Amino acid sequence: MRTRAIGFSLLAAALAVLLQTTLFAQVRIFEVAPDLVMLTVIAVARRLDAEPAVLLGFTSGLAMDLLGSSPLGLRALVLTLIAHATVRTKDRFDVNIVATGSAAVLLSMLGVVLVVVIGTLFGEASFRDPNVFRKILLIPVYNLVLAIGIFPLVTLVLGGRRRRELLL
Amino acid sequence: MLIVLVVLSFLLMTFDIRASRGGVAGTLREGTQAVFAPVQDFATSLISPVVDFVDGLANLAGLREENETLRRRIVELEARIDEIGTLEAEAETLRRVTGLTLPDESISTKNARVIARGDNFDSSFTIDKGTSDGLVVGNPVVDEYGSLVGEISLVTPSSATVVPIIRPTGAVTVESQTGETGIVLGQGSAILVFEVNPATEPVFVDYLLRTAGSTKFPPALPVAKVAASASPEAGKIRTEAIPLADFNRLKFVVVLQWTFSAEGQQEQGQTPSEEVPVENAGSETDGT
Repeated sequence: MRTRAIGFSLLAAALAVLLQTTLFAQVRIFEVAPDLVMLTVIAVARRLDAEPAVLLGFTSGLAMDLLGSSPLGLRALVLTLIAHATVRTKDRFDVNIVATGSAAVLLSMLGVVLVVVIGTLFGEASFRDPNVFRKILLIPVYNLVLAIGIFPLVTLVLGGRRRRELLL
Repeated sequence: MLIVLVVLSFLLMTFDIRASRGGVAGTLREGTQAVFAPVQDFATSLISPVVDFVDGLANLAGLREENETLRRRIVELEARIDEIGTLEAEAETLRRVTGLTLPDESISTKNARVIARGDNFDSSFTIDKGTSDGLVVGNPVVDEYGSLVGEISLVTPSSATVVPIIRPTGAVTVESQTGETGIVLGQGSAILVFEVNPATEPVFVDYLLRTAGSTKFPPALPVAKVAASASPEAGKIRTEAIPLADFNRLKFVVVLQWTFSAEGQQEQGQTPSEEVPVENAGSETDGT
């Protein structure tokens, strides 16, 4: 089960990276796209133990860093922290649909803010982007919409014996 | 584990910046992009119809009051029309790309397709041409109208990463219609800052800004238009400019196989003699 879970997690992350850099490179509403990679890390980390969860966050982030031009390690760091935050808070947020949705929004917002703040500290000047606040607000909203489809799918595959009890 | 990964991330960022995005990190990037570019290329060609369909739906927001049957019919027809329109626009773009005339006609060009982009905070994008097509780091990139888009910051045999001029750390030396030289600074979005220092003449809305000729870009490439009139204050002008290239809609670009040489003549297919560090591509004031 553990091997299957890790295999699925890596596959999901690779697919998310591919869609983020191709599909969501073109589909941008109000000049902002969802952060599918971050959402996938959140969705999968909820169903993994702490160690594989943070490793998945790190790997996914590193892949995004390697495919972009921002400092290598920036998204790896952010997604590692987001995966850790997800694992630490999953019991509080896994109670009902509203709490789970709130978790998707809050963790996505935290991730975007971390990208901006740490990116700025490492010379990316993200705060100079006039759309920075729009991105901070819209990415979590878009992620919430996508979470409606992604969370149940991940639960279905990784939920184990509890998966029938879990709606999201 | 968490602490190890956090420390590792900070170390990677530090080494990446200190090594000027070159070294081991640069090699890793090149390797990853070389492997991933064909996959992204394939995925882009697969999802293009989906994107066109979504674009079509987005254009139909005003028809919600129509009854359901009629609306579905219109959605279907509009989506088809939009698809055809998109194809026509794409064909027109390709015609413009292939027929592009540059201020300096001796510069060789290479047409390329945008196959991938960074995320919301990374305005760079990947094109489907690389070293096997003669591209090198530092080659300027323009759109189908010849307007400056950016420059190549990383290149693999089959793909290249383009850093656009709108990147927050980007800067381009330009000449305005007044004949004075200034710089345009990227902000991460479709608004640039235009600075002239020292300035003696006012600038007005729609004044065209062209590259002034430097170590990074050949002269006379259109870059942006002044968005707000401004007069010199304390011998300096600082106002807004709008880039001529539409960075959100770029599907095809033209790479100029131009690099600067100390003798002031272009070299083709060679590394720039006055080398611009890769990590600073688009982040330094060119030639100033």
